[in-house]
Parts: sequence; C-alpha cells; structure tokens
Amino acid sequence: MKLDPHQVTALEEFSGKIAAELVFAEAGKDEGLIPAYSLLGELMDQIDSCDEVMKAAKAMQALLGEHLDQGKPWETATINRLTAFNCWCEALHAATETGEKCKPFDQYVADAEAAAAADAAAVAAPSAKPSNPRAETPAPQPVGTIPPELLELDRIQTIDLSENAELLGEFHIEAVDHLGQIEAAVLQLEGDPGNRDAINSVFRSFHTLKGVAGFLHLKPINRLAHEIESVLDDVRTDKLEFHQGITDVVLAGRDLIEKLVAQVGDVIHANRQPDTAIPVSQLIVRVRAVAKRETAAASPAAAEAPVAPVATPSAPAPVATTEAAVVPAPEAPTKVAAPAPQTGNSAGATAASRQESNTIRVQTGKLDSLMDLVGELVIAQSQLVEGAREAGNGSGTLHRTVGHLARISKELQHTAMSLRMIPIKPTFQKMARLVRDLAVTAGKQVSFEMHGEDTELDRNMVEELGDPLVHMIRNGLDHGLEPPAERVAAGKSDTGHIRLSAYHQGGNIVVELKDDGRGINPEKVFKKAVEKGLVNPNQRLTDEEIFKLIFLPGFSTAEKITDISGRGVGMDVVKRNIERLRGSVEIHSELGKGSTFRIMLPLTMAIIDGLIVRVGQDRFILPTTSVQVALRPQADMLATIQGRSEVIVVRGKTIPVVRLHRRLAIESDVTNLVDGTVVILENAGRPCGLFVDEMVSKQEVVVKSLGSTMRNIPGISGGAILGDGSIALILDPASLIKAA
Amino acid sequence: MQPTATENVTATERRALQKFLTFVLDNEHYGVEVMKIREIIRMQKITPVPQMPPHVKGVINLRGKIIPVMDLRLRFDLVAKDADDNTCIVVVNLVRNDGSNALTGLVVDNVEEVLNINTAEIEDAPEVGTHAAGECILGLAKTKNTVITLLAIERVVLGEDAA
Repeated sequence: MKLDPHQVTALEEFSGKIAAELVFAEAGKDEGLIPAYSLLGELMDQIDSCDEVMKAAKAMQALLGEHLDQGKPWETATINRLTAFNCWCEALHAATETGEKCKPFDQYVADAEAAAAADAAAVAAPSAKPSNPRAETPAPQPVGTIPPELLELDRIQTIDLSENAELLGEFHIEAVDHLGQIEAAVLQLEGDPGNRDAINSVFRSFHTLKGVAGFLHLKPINRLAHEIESVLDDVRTDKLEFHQGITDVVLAGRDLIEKLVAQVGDVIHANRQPDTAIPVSQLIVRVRAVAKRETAAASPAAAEAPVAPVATPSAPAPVATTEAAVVPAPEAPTKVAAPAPQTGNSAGATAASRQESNTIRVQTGKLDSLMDLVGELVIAQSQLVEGAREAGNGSGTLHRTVGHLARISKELQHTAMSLRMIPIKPTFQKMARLVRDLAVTAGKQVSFEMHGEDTELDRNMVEELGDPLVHMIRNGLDHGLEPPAERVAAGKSDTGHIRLSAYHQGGNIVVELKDDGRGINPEKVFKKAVEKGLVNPNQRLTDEEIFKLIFLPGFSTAEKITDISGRGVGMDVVKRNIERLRGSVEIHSELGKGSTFRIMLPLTMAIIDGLIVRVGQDRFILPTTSVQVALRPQADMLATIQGRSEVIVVRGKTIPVVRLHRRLAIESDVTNLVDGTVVILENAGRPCGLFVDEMVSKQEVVVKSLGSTMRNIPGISGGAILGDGSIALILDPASLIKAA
Repeated sequence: MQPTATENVTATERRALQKFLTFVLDNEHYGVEVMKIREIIRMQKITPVPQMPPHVKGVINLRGKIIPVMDLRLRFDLVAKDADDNTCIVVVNLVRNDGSNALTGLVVDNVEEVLNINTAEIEDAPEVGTHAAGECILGLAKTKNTVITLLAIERVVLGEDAA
C-alpha cells in the first residue's frame, strides 16, 4: 500500500475533520452524520488509487448511508466504528511516514478489540497493577472499543423516587444551576484559558454533581462527572494544559448530564420513568483520551507535536481535538471512589453555593397576580386618600395613617415591579454557546464578546428575546462572516468578531449585535427584493430602507440553503417578535466592514410612561417615548391637501394629521382642529400628528393585555387601569401611523 | 315527560346531573354550566374598544385584570336593551384549545337560579325557531314552566378563535 504525498495530506485532513465531527456525534442524535458521510466521499475522491483505503471507506460510507436512508440517528456501534476507522487512517498515515506496512482495516479493528478486551480483563482482575504499562507503549491503540464495565453505564437509568424523593428534587434543582455555571465558565475559559476561577468553578460543579449523584445511585451521572472532574483536576494542578479538546469533552459531558438530569426531572415532576438509555460510555472513553494526551506528553509523545502545525490553517480547533481523539487511550484502571467522603465534600460545596445566591424560585403566575393585586391596592389607597380629604381635617391621626399607607403602597409597587426584572446574562450565555457550535459547523473562526450582560430586563422580555437573537446570530454567522480565506483576502484577520452587548439608552434598553463580516450589499438586497416581487423596481429607496427589506417574509439572499440559515424564514420572525415586545430593530451596515443590528426595547413590558388624552368619553394612553410634542394648533399652522388630507406645519416641517376619533370611529367633543390638541408622534423616523380633544395628564401605567380575543386590534396595543379604577386603552403609534 | 329539575335527588341520580346557572335574555331562558362560571358581578362601566364587533361591548376591570365583555343579547341578534338594576355580568372562565384561559364577561338581563339538570334528559335543539345560531346550543332542558336553552358557551364566546 503506497500513498503519494498528496494523498497523505488528504488523509490527514480527513482525520482532522472527521474527528471534529466525532466530537459532536452522540448516539441518538443525527448531528454530524451528513458531514461525516460527505467527508468520506471526499476522502474516496482523493485516495482512489489505494484499494485498501477505498474498501474500508466504502464500507464505512455504506454504514453511514444506511443511517441516512432509514433516518436513524447515530448508534454507539457506528460511532465506535467510525472512531476506529479514523484511528486506522491515523495509523496508516503514521505508518506511511515511517515506511512501515500497516494492517488492513478489518484486521486492525479485530486486533484492537482483542487488545481492549484483554485490557478490560486486566482491569477487572483484582491484581490490577496501579499503573498500566500500556500507557507507555507508543503504538497507537484505538479508542473505538469500549470497556464492558463502561457499557454497563449505558443502560436506562433507574430512578427510585420512593427512597430519596426529596433529595432527588433538591439534586435536580441544584444540578440545573450547576450545568448553567459549567457552561458559562467553560466558555469563559475558552477566551481566557488561564482563568483559575473559571477552572475551579467548573471543577467544583462537576465535583458536586458527582458527589450527590453517587449518593443517589445515579451511576451514569456520577461516573461521567467523575471522569471529567479528573481531567479538570489535572488542569487545575497544572498537570495538563487547557486546550480545545478539553472544552469539547467538558461541554459534551455537560450536555449529556443535562439530559440525564432531565430524566430525573421527568420522574420527579411527571412520575415518568425514563424509557431511553443515554449512553455515556463513548464520552467517558473520549474524556480519558483527552486526559491521557498531555499527561503522556511529558514523555516521547512530544514527537507527535509536529503534526499540529501542518494541518489546515483554517481549523486549528479540530486539529486539537484530532490529537485528543486519536491518541490512544488504553483502558486505565479507574477507582470507584467511596461515596462517603464525596458526600461530605459535596455537602460543603452545596452550602457554599447556597450562600452565594439567596434566591427562591417562584411561579410567574404568582408574580403576575401579585402585580395585579398591588395595582388594585394602589387604587384603593388613592380612594382612601380622597375619602379622608372629604372627611375634613378633623382627625390628624387618620391623615397621618393614610399618608403612611400611601408611602408603603408605593414602595410595595416598586418592589413588586422589580421582581420581574432579571439580568440578560443567561440569554447571552446561550448565545455564546450557539456561536461556538455554529462556528464549528460552518468552519469559520469566530471570537465572541459580550458586554453589559448584567443589564436587567423584564423577565418576559428576556425570554422572548432568545428566539430573535438566535435567528440574528445564525444569519450573522452564515451570511455576515466570511470564511477565513475570504477574510484574509479582504485584508482582515482570519478570525471573525461578533459582539453582543446590552445597555441603557434613554428610556430604552438596547441590545446590539455587531459583526465585522462582509456587510449587507444594498444593491444585492434590492435586486433580490425586486426578483421576489417585494418592491417595485422603479422605487428609489435609501440604504436604510433597503436594509429593512430583509425583514419581509420570504426574503432571503442566501444563494444556497444551508443548515444554519437561508430558508427565508428568520428575519421576519425577528421583526415580529421584537415588535410584539414593543421594540424596534435598526440595521447599520457598511459593505466589507460589517453590520450592526440594534434592537431597541422598552425598559419593561409591564410599565410605560404614558400621556393620557381624552376623546369624547374615552381616555387613551400614548407611550411618551413616541411623543415628540403636544400643541394647540393655530389656524395658520394648518392646511388641507386636495381638500381631504389635513396637515400641520411644525417648525417648518409638514406633518400629516390623523383624527383619532375618525380613526377609531368614536364620538368626540371637538371637531375643529384649532379647538383641540395635536400630539406629534414619531415612529421609525416618520412624524404624524394625532388629533385629540385634550391632554389629561402624564403618568406611569401598568400595561395589561386585553386578552387574546382582542389581541390584534390595529392601533391599540393594550389597556391600563387608571387611578380611579377605570380602564384606558393604550394606543400603538406604529400601527396608527401606518394607516395614516 | 317528568320535569328534570328537582331539589331531592339521590346520590346515584346526582352523578348524571349537571348544574346549570340560568339567566334571562329578552324573556327567554338560557343556561350555562356552573363549572365554567367564575363569578357574577353587577353591571359596571364598560370601556368601549373600537373596531370590535357590536356584541363585544368593551373591557372591564375585574380586580386588576382587564377582561373583555360581550353582550349576549347582541351576540344572539336579540333587541338591544339599556342596563337596569337587574342587569348582571356573568364572568366565565373558559379554556381554549391551546390550553390558555379566557376570562370573559357576559352581559345578561337577569340571573335566575342554579338548576340540576339530568344530562340524559337534555334534548337536541330543533333546527328552527331559535335566535342563537344552532352550533352554540348544547341542547334544551324543560322545567315545570319553561324551556331552557343550554349554551355551548365556548362556541358562543370563543367562536372561531377556539380553532
């Protein structure tokens, strides 16, 4: 079997890429199946002269093809086989370099299995030696086979609620917290590998998980956490250098544990025993491989080092994982730690984490009814004030008490409001993870920055913001950021930058997503919009107006449909979601330099500063954020166009006037413009005058929904209860103006 | 046929009985399952909401919650009538198909009583002779003096929205 240099490179590239796919491969999921399939195809194109490789690759591709044809997700056996195949390719490549002959694939797998079985037997034997001599053998060993004692862990979890119901419940809540902390800290570590606090935090979290899971007989969680903890311990004690491979396995481990924990949750909340096994053995083998890599690196394994720089410059990340994955992990004897000391430790850690955040979880329904009741209390209190005033000033005590009550209820109202505010941080962290995963899939290098993640938003808003952000980030990564080669050609660094920030601006919260990609080409967008029949080709639009076209339903400029985006849904969803939050989106983009998406949101969905106006019997509320000025028009400011459209001239600007009573078809007391009030509203840069009978007052109001039967009334966005208990409708300037 | 409303029912019979609140609309008697009624309140000021169908009178403040109010007379194309001392708002709590709750007020002329009606004796509504659109009627129940139209209140209130 001979390979020419070109083929050697191809083989090497292939194992790098396939290892990257394998990191994400997980039994029961289909992520990575298609890429692995097509990578095999690519390999076959390159190495068609080598029968040996062709035969093995063909068989491998056929196996994956079966999965694809039948819509089957990954199976542990398939992953093992592919891992073994990859190891074999690696061995083949090494053998070619040293001029040795390499065993055929089938032979190789058979030998590897035999070796592993012997290994496992050695471990199982009571006389297992403390250090495994195989660890020093330089000959590559496959990671494809899994020791039987680990396969034990791949069974369906049995969760016995009768014994430890309370503890399990506590464990579930705690585990969810820890999983969140792990994700945050690992991502932090990626940016700053030397960060001690982050390493310690991840370590502590896994340690606690391990301890409590062991105590509760949740074997898979316990063992997996244990393995990851050991790796992290090595990192912590400087025995192992932190690298990408570690991040990958830690995150993969975190995800698996999350699933296992979710099964625990199902048992607790729905009394539903898990019906699927979540295999952990595969990952444990990978974790061990990662652990071995650098502990052995002190010795001659350094000879492998030159491999790294040779690999494709575009993918240093996969290279790291490749090394981790392909360096053999002979089965090492693992001690099953005694549960007693662990529980002791974890109890200590638990107490510490409890002290860190004195929080309780409350159902949001309870918060909402608290808000409603506090609102009512404030109304009742103001009626009491009124009553006390009417009763005269005979009783000083009554007045004092009423004043005291007013202060208390005001404070209570503020506190109740603040309960709804939570930091945007968790949402941002999810995005960090998303960017990371997408970047790997798309083969782009991305550095992700977050700013202002402590900014607090109404909790409904934080939740609703997730989806639009996901869409925007997917779009940014897929269409915005160029592949490394294109970036370098454009004179930029090969790593793309995405920056997500949140900050206050005026009465708004701004969430900004900025990338330094290729930017949006207005001509291309316009052409596309014309093609799709979304705009008239003769229309003259400013760049800003053109950018807004991408929010139209059915618009997508992606030439090819990718996994990530480009199906023509997405940006219109973004816009709709944000409008539902009473926010708006702005796009700034410079061709070749990047784009900025700014989402402007009100501070809270629950309260707005409102200008109360009256028309006939009814009162309406206008959000002050969109009110520019309110004035009694003079006759010389007014004009009509073609006898119908009324306009008002304010500071030299001609602004159309909408009569609210006509718009809503209600009775008004005033019909002559000069007798009433015109409120100048601005929305999306377009001013409009709204004619009402009079201005009543300005106050903060609690926004309430009118219920789903009255959800989509044009011009009206909700209702509010005023001080006297009556209801005023909140007007929606955007839709009022649109109809003007 | 025996009258179905009676005060003295045995335990076995009770299982087949359902409680209905009866009320009057333009001298006709209607019934709604008690299980779906949240409360009955006096007529109060209703804030009109523009661009709604005529039978949707507007919204009221129910202890801090804003809920829509529907005039059942107008819903069933009966003659409109100004509110008087007997006019009430019956607040029903309905569950939509998507699982969300819909609190809605129904304006009625006068609330009568709660009746136990044997479900076996509910008759299908005749095709003609009713003001309410056929699909809103659960069935007819007879008492000593009168016939009560039992309403399928979800269809009355949620209509197409319940899809």
